[in-house]
Amino acid sequence: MNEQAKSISMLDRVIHEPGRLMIVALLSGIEEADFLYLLHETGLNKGTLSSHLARLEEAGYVEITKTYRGKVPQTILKLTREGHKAFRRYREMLHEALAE
Amino acid sequence: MTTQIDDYVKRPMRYQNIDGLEELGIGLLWIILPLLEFFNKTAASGSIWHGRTTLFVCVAAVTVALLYGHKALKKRFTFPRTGYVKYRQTRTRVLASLLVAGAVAIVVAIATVFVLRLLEPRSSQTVGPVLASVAWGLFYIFITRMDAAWRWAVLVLLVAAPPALAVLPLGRLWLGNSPIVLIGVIYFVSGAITLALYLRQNPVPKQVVE
Repeated sequence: MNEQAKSISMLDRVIHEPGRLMIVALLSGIEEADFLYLLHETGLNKGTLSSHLARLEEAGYVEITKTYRGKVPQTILKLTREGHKAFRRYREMLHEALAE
Repeated sequence: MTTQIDDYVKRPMRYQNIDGLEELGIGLLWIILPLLEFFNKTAASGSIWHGRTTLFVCVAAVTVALLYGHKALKKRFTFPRTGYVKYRQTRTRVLASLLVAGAVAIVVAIATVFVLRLLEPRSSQTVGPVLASVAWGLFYIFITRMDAAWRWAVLVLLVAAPPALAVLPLGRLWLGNSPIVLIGVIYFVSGAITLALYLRQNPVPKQVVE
């Protein structure tokens, strides 16, 4: 197996899914954001976004905190240290895989 | 694909001025501060407006009011419409930004003095406004990312109008401040347009079940 094929096979499957990749990329540059922001920026529907977030939380990449903004419930999302590492690794692998 | 990922990583930074509040804040600052200085200079010597202490207190009060007002407006208008974002602000990043801003200000000030000495006294009236226009024009590009076609018209106005105003005969006292006030007005109007468009395009959604 050549290096490029090896890099492709080593891509993190949790992050590689387009919806989750959008979420992780958005969260990687900030401290935290809420559910509404991700809904607005990704264009995903609520159900799909929720399921992607649950998958990312299960992998330990995203920390989900339920809170309130006044009387309105608010879900705060934050990329964990592990999530940051995984995203960095993913980008490196992708770069290698796409390199000519 | 990597470019698309980079775009998503940088997207939250563009979100900072999605509502035009950054522009509005800068605009208000550059309208109010020169006006305060103008009142300070023109007030009678026994007046409360005269004196450096009053000016300093007013400047501090305006800056604090704008900072808290900005936060309150974000909470009131932006977060319920398009979501809440908290940016990373590590101590080193804040310190580095302050150092860079200070260094740039010093370089611009030295360059201004140098150029003023080289040029004729008459043309020196426009050098300050030209430098200020270019600096605030570049900053405008930075904060708005030129995300709409109409912003190019604002940019042209921002770069051309203050130096043009500087050569108009408005009297010596007001001359130094008027281009800065104009920069403030342009920023303010641009921010108001951005805010109006934002509010029209983003109504408050019904409660999101998460």
